[in-house]
Amino acid sequence: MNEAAMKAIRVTTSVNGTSYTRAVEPRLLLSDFLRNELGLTGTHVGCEHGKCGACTVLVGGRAVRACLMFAVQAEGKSVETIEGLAAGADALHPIQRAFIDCHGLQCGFCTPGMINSTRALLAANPAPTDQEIRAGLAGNICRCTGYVNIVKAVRQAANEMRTTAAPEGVSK
Amino acid sequence: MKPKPFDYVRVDTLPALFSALAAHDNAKIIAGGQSLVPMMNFRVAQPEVLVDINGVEALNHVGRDGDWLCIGAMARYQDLIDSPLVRESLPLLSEALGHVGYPAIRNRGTLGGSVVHNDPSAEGGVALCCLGAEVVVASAKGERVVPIAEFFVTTYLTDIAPHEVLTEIRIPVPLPRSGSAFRELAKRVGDFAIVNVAALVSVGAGDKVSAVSLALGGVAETPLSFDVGPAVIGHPLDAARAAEAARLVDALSDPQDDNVAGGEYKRHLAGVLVKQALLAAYIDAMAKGA
Ligand SMILES: Cc1cc2nc3c(=O)[nH]c(=O)nc-3n(C[C@H](O)[C@H](O)[C@H](O)COP(=O)(O)OP(=O)(O)OC[C@H]3O[C@@H](n4cnc5c(N)ncnc54)[C@H](O)[C@@H]3O)c2cc1C
Ligand code: FES
Ligand code: FES
Repeated sequence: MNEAAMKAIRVTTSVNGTSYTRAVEPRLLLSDFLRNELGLTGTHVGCEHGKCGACTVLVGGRAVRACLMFAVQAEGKSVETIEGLAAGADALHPIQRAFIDCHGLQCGFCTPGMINSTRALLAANPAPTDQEIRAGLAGNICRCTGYVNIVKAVRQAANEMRTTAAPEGVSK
Repeated sequence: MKPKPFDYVRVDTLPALFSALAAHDNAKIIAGGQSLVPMMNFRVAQPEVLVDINGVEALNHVGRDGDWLCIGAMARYQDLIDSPLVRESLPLLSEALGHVGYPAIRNRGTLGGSVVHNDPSAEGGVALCCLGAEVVVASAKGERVVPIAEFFVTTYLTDIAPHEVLTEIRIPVPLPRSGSAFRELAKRVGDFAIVNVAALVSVGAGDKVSAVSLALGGVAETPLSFDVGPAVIGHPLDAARAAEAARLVDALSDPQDDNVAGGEYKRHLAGVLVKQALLAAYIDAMAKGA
């Protein structure tokens, strides 16, 4: 057994409602755990120092940087990634729909993080002003869109979510 | 994988935390991880053992103790911002913490971790200097209480030994007729500030300033308070008095160039923000009635 394997710690965590148990090295970042151990590559990795927001996921309903948490710290927690949002290809979530409708994405690299930040924003504030949208997404960098259409998309999603579906189980 | 391999220890109680720290050389506490993990990802920090205090309930409290507000080291920024108790007794702290990073950073990061990390323009540190906070530092051997200004030694260095834990931040609640304001300029929302200013002003008879406290970030190695009492105490606070206070700060500080801004620019900015913050704090105090 090599040194790394000897140091492995068991972690059990719920990701998009499914419980997973894995033995991982303590230094495995939550972002790499999601991508490499669980194959959930929708969590993108841009900077690995908290700056770009591409890796933003929800832990316990709160938006956090998956690159600034170790997988072992997700023990007993519930993690939500972009993969858990849509019921299927034909049943996109209103936020996803709005990003498409409003051209809120081009290359799509920032999009999972943008959408997860938006989920948290709208759960805490279902009717944000443009300024509140910008503050809520300030930690998500996009190299393509120039942000205007992202703000527009969040506005559309907020309107739609207020007038239709029951709220998601996200607390903040 | 980016960080160097390390052992991971999760603790739930203070005694377990003290013994974990005593048992290992080169152990580090992880609180919110929002400063430590970036440093580990870059391998600037290479702890051999990481002691996780996220589950220590005894460090996760916010409460009033007479004229003091006591904040446990694991209290996260967003919880403090959302706390009605903090908003009512220390609006300056709520306002300042709203400027820290982005929502995702505030959801994890702790005020305790920020104080131990000691960035020169950390909003938490600037507000705590202005408010005259104290920190409680504990180990298996006992506790000591350190005024925040003494705790901040120099950039990224604080008065804490490897086996010690910052357990609590204690902040005196300001006098009833006090007002406060926090002002900062950063290149983008959520960036570390180039300069930031926290002001606390108390008014007495005749709307004259009876006490003032002012702290700045970004102009020295650590957040720093400045005595501007001679410029403003005993008078209503107007633009001329605020300008005089800004001159005092200018005479007492010597901001250095860094990779974000030049010293001369920071000097100018400090003057502008000091005037704005003092006037806003005075107006806030006046709004509290006679
Ligand atoms: C993208 C980004 C933007 C940011 N922007 C800002 C900003 O604008 N303003 C700002 O002030 N900060 C900012 N930060 C830093 C953030 O505030 C950190 O949360 C904070 O500096 C450290 O708190 P933490 O709980 O995350 O501590 P950690 O990262 O867990 O720990 C930091 C250090 O303190 C030690 N430590 C932590 N808790 C204790 C304790 N109780 N006792 C003893 N030692 C302890 C650790 O061992 C470590 O050395 C930003 C961070 C990121 C990633
Ligand atoms: S990869 Fe996590 S914030 Fe950039
Ligand atoms: S769509 Fe390309 S980075 Fe945002």
